[in-house]
Amino acid sequence: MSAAPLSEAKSNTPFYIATGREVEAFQAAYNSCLPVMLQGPTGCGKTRLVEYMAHRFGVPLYTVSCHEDMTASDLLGRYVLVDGNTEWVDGPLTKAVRDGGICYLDEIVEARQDATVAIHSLTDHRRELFLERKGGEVLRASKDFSLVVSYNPGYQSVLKDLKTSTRQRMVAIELGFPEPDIEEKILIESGVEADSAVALVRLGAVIRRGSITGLREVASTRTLIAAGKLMAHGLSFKEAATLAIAGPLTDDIELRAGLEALIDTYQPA
Amino acid sequence: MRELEGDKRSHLRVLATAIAGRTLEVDSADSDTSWTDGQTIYLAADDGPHTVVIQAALVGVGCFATMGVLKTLGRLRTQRRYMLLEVVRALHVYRGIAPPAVVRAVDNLQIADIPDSQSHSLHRAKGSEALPEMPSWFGTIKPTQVLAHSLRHKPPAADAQAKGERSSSKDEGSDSAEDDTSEKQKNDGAGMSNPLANLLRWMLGSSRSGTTFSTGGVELPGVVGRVSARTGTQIHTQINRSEEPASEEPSFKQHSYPEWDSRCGVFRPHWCSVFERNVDVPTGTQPVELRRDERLRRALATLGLAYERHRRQPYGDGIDVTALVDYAVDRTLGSAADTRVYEMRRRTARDLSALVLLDASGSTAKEADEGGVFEAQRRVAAGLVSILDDLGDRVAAYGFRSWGRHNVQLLKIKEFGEVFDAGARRKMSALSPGGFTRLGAAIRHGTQTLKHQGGTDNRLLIVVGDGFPFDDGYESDYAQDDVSKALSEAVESGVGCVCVAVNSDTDEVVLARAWGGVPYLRLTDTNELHRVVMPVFRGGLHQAASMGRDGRQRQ
Ligand SMILES: Nc1ncnc2c1ncn2[C@@H]1O[C@H](COP(=O)(O)OP(=O)(O)OP(=O)(O)O)[C@@H](O)[C@H]1O
Ligand SMILES: [Mg+2]
Repeated sequence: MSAAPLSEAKSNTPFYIATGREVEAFQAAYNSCLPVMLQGPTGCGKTRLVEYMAHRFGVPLYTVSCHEDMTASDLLGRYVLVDGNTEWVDGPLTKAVRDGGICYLDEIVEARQDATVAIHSLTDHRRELFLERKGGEVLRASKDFSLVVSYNPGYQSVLKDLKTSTRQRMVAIELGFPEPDIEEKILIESGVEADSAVALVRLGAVIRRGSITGLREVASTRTLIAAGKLMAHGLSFKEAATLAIAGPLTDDIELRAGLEALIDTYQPA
Repeated sequence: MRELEGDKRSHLRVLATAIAGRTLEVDSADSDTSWTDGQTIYLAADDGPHTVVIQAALVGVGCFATMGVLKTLGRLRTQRRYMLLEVVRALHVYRGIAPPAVVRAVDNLQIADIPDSQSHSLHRAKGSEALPEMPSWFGTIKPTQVLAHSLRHKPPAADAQAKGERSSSKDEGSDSAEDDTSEKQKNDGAGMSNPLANLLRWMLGSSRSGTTFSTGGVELPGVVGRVSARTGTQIHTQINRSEEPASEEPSFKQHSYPEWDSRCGVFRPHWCSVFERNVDVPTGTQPVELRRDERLRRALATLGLAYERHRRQPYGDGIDVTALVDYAVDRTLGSAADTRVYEMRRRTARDLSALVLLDASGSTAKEADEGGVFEAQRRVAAGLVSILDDLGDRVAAYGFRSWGRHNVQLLKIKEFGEVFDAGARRKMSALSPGGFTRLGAAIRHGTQTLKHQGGTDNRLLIVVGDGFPFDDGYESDYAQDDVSKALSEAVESGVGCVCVAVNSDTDEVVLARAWGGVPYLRLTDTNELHRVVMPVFRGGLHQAASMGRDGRQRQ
């Protein structure tokens, strides 16, 4: 689990280009004290959007990557033993509730439900957090507190799903991959050379078309940027795209060869 | 042609498929010009990937999808100009996904006014405006070959885009009525009159799109006899096309699978085309009836479990550290401490995905009791799906049937992630038997679906049907060996397979050859399912677990 507060003192804004109306939607939800649920395929910019919004609001961001073995204490906090005495230490959620800030539960369906029950009272009109372990303390959320969860419906661990009751309390913002011109801009701003950006974006788009069967996922903005970065460090277009884009998609040798032939055709003009 | 090149060629099918938006093959051309029949791109020795892009884009954008093709027949000049304009249109439509080099090459033709539809291209092709010559690496189009190919194989409905275009040019039929007659005369002159027109009509009619023919008169032939392409056995399977429901869907994805040729000991690559289709539910269809079967439910409840951590247990095989820390804290604070500080692993988590394949071919209906067998199989399938779904397993259900290797259909009753609600149950009711049984392709597609969408360690493919393979060019030993091969491929990749047959009289010899490798259950009384189901299902899962690579926590 990682709980990394991103200090508001940090002056350089995280780089984010809006792909639709998500910034406005996020802002409106934040102003209305409504929790946000981000949906979208992996690598489409969910984490980046949250970082950007936290910076915009000038509040710290606490990111929690949810996983199967996460406990309620990991979110809320726990007593620890210090020199034979006990001392309460706030978890990331409690910190954000107490002092204001965005608590971002990444891939929330990965956590077991008993670990995340605490968010229920936070997500309705009460906006309060009940710390049973800490002698039943009730914390009212700061006005700057915001809960954001990410949730990827197409994700592998399909056995689990969000409870409808939880889902209904959230403003769902759906992110997809950006339109070609925007994605090109993102790539270029991320340090990819213009001709390569065009070629990579088209390559990404043709793979996302979904007609090639047997691929594990699609080519995300993240993998396109990764390919561009490898090129900036001296790899050829084909090498870079094969490593960063084709690699994660399949292990099948024949399909892999097909993808390499495809990549070869997309050489920047 | 150099060998190395040929190998490269087969790799280009990924490129072709990606651009066209549906499965396309790439093969060598015997002439020095590249072309496509709509299913395979025939690549000339001197041509390469860029030619594949051009030809695939033409297929994808629906250049061959409608009657426009016929109209360009015979006149070479029109044909070339038409192709040029269609290339420009296709690359405009696919600008965002096409390789930069090809986009640039087409831009360099400097055709300012980009056609916005097939009929627009056609109109201009027949006109007199000056158009540049096409580079020879674009290849050519062979309308007659496309037609001939379509006649041999019922084409999948064209791309959504093409369909959209077709309905938008609905009135084309009337504005080109005189054209039609003149073309027809031309065709007469060229010696391919009525039969071709009929067949063409048949072919185009089969997609039942918005295009209407202004010249009426010729009926669609209802029955088309087909002769198996296989040498050796001559199989005359009367395929009654009128049985086959016409598609109203804009497009469906085509999946291609190999088939095992046991006589030659090789796979025939990309032999079968599988389509997932929606079930047409007539209004007033009642949802399939579900009978409460507590005994079956109890039996299935123990299937496919995985270990789960149980925390804060009074005893167990490990220590729950969080509970232990709490315990220490509580003691230090002097409050009553909870001594349940152990954790235990128990097999309680549901970890099963099951895909039910219900045989919806005609063979199940021909039994003496007039569809009674199909009804019984439908009931069995419905019971299994509803109980497994209720128990928290991942369940999907498809009907399957085929009309030859190019048209294997999986009829979507319930996909993974969908609920088995009245809508899904209506779909199950609405299935009526028809067509044939290309079992191998159905099993392969079911296996892929389970592997990609199942998401659990335990995966089970349940075929509900007599398990008797039969289709056009798919009979006896050949078919049985293919089924057996498809099953062992599945099991080896970690997908358990079983068959549940109701009142089946399938021959023991056939069963042993096709199904000998996996559990097969012959039911005579569907009410007895709960007593016999477990050894069969467990056996299926067990085989897959012991073969599968990640058999960690299976039973
Ligand atoms: N709209 C955007 N503006 C700027 N950069 C973007 C944008 N979208 C994606 N990126 C880039 O893509 C990368 C991946 O995005 P991010 O990590 O936010 O994805 P994610 O949706 O959180 O993925 P996951 O589901 O795997 O966590 C980022 O590091 C960033 O470089
Ligand atoms: Mg992320």
